Amino acid sequence: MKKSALILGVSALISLGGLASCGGSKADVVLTVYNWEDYIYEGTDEKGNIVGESAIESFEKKFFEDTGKTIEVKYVTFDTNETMYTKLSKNLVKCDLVCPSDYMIQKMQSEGMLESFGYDKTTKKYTEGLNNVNNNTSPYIKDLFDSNNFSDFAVPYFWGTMGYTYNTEYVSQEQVSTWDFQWNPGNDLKGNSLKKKITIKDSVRDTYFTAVMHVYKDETIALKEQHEAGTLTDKAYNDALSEIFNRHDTETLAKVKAALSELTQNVTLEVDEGKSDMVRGNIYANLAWSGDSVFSMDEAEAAAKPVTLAYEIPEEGSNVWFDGWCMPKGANVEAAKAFLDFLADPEVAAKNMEAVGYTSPIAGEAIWETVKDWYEADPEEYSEEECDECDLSYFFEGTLPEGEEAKILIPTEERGRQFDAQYPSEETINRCAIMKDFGAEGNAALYKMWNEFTASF
Amino acid sequence: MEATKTLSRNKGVVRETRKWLCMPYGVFLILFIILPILLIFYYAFTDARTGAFTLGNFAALFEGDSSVTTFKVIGQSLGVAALTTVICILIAYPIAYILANSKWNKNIVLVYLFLLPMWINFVIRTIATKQLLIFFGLDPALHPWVCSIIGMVYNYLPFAILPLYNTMLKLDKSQIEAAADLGASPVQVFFKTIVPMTVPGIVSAATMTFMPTMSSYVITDALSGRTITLIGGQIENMFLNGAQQDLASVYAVIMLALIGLSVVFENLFSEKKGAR
Repeated sequence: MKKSALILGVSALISLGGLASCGGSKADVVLTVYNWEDYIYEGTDEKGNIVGESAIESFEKKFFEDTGKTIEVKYVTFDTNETMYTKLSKNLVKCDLVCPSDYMIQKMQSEGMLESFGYDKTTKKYTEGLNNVNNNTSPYIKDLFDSNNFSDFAVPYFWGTMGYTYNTEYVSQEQVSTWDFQWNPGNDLKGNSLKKKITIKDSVRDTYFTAVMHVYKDETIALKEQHEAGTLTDKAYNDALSEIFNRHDTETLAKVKAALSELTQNVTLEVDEGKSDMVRGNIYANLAWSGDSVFSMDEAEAAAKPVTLAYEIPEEGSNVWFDGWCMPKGANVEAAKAFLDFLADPEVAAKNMEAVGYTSPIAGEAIWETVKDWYEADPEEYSEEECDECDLSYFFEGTLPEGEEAKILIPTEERGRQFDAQYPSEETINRCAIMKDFGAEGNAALYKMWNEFTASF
Repeated sequence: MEATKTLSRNKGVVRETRKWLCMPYGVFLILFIILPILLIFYYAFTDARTGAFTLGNFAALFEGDSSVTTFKVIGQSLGVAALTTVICILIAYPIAYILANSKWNKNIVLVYLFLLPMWINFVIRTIATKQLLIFFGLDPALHPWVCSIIGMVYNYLPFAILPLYNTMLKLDKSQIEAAADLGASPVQVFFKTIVPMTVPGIVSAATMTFMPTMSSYVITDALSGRTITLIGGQIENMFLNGAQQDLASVYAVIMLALIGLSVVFENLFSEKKGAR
């Protein structure tokens, strides 16, 4: 009895202590940041050793230098958009900044959960603070945000595309250049069946759109041809593709359901193991986010039995996604803006990009130097004939020092790998559309169909 | 006189404190057991939008195309659980007999060897199992059922061995010897004396494996490439995809009912045997 009383007492004391430390902070300002796991530079190397100052620590120092006030950043993490949304909407987490994905930003905005950043649509700039964001954000991302009306409620943090990671020893680039691959996998390059050697995402929206692009292939290919012939502008092409990409009427749902039911013989589902299965050679193709693909390629090269992986975005069109910082209602606007402006400093963004592996929406010299450092062909190793000149001016335009062109020499044998996954060409990006929220009813119908699909194997 | 008074007063204080010491358990019981169950029933029997009482959530799962999915998920769960239970007991029974017999198991090292995997987290073990199966040429993507059942049996075998081993330790050796002396063949000895004496062990081994396998889905997810959807997995899907708490709760109620049924069966069985 005594012992248990002691334990109770001690635990009570500990919890009291815990509460006390939560309640009072010594800092003048407290900023709570709610972010994805592993989504910021934590001052550590790949093995987790501390090698420098984390982004948060640097910001706390800078904030004190700039304002004379001390700030404490409380950093909380989440793992899916849906858990984040549930916790925020039920007030289980209160924060000043949160980092949802595109369709979730749209949903939260339409429900009035978000604070405005003060964006002027005529000058395409934020009116107060956020100078780094104004000056350093890539023109491509700025346009994307502006044309989708995200700018007022969200500041971009990372972005990427979706496509296939594939094992070049077993799968040819041609095979994965169309979503048909999932429906008719055929044989691998060694003559064995590719059935069940492909994984797709156990994540509604990501797998749903692959089926939409598949069932409306005639339309998407016709658009592509018109675009190539020059009868469709880039914007008109992308808008038309976006419309198809986000279809969710009853007829589309029925078509997609039928198409998905054909998939059960060919694929298995995963959300996270796909990366390691690719690296180990358990599977030969994996529907993947570009950042994950870069991660798999890096790991596969470094593996005990090295494997060559590559990344391809099918010709029908795919998804361009982004995560952006939003301020929930009641956030500390000033401190939040200071933090975002700090993150938009190209030096800081370069460090974050290196740590996280996804592509930063920030352009600017520091980022450009990082990209060149990672990917530019070594003249001693490759002659100019063995290289392709890649033009990234769509992304870096106006952010580099005068006279510097955003052109880079990439070894031809490295094309379709890390560089192309991180910085798709302008041509590729034209056929990538943004995911839009389907609204309550659309989602309900979609989820019902999806739950039936995942159980139908 | 004075001394006894204080003593009895102290006793009263002690009794008071003891009462208060139960509080945390009461709070725990309410917060983590009773409240969640009430919530499940609330969500299952109310309309998600209006909050009014309805049986519509059950209807939604059992009408038209949906019923195919629902029955398939429940059927698969029962199938995986039943298969795992039967195979576990078939494997565990002889092992338990051998382990309980000191002739073969001089020190209890063997028992520990069989229980050893339980000390490692099952998620880690399952990841390793997948790699091991691929190494042996059994690709989970191509043989989802075989791989899943292997993984399940591997994980739940200790749960079947332990109760059987405990019963076997208490076997009445003289009865077995008597049966043999009176002319029963080894097979007769086994079925007429050993099996009846170990029925309580079999029943508790069956429940110890059947109940957790009914609700577990992580192992089958990993070893079938998420192609075998069980009740637990479907509940997860429904929560993650658009927070369909109402439908997920219906599944939870069904699962509770199935587990409740298996408890009733267990009680019926052990009571009968006990009365004999």
